[in-house]
Amino acid sequence: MSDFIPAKREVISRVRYKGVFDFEGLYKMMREWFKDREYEFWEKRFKHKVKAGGSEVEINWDAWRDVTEFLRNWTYVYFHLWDYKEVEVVKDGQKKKMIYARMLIEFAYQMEFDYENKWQDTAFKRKLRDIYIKYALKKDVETIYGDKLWYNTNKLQQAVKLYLGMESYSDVYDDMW
Amino acid sequence: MVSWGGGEKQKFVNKAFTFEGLFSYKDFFRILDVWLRDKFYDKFEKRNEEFVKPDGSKQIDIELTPWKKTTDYYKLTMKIEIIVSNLREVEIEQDGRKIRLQRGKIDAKIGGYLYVDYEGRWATPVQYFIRDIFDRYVNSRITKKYYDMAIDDVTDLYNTLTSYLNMYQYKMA
Repeated sequence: MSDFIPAKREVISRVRYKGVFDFEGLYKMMREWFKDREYEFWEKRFKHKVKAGGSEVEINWDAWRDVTEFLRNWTYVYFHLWDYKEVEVVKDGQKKKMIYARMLIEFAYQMEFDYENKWQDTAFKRKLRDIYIKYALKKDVETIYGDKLWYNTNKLQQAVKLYLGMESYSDVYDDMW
Repeated sequence: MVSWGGGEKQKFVNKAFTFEGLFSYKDFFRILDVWLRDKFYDKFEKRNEEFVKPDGSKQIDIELTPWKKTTDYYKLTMKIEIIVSNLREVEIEQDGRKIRLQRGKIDAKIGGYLYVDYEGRWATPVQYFIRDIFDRYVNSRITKKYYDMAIDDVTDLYNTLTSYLNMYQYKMA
């Protein structure tokens, strides 16, 4: 089995939004974000539960990108929407269908080492893999690979905030990696 | 990248302020981010909530826990909690020009923490004892340096944010 750092998915940010927004546009923008960065993409779950006061929607995305033959980056996105209703609004003089809902988006990340399980079959190889990750790769994992993945996942969160027109948006850390 | 090790978190300082009046929230948030970046803090925006109410006003609730690894042993962390309530767009006239600002109430809390042994290498009771004695008596000057840095950083951020909000003029009156 491959090794993961951090061992469990680490949620780096939670965004909550309540109001009227274009969910279809947000969905497409985020999907494009992964596509532009050459991530493989898996929509693991799409749950739509119709309720009297408004539907409940849950979506899980797992996206991954192979950085080297040994390291794979994972970015996870979890959407949870409550009171999901279609509403019609007038924007720039035109009628448009949008969504009114309470929404939670969680962003998480993980790094997977030896994702092809090539260092798995003997105890010696497994030990060698451990030493390689813990000692030889340690600094690179902390300062290069981990940091880059951390800030790139943050950039996706920034893109979401910008799309939703949230007030707490700033581009100060955008040039990191 | 955030550390996935253990370590001991020690809290040293906590400051809070409340402001009600005119400001630009985008500028306020940007000033906070610029300050963190200038002081080499890594960004960790743990929670960011925004609720748009039917009357158009907004409620914002954010929690940031930026950190800075100063050595392999010491790490500074802050916990910044900001609640903005009744945020509304307003247009004011200044020097004959119209400016768009916001009116609302800000409640902010800033806490400063020092993590010692953040990679959790000294975890057993014996190791913990040796480490703590070493920190207190042998390495006390270095440990104090980072205690002071945590306190200075919180104070400086507090001063930066309150200066932006022109809170000193209210204090002087």
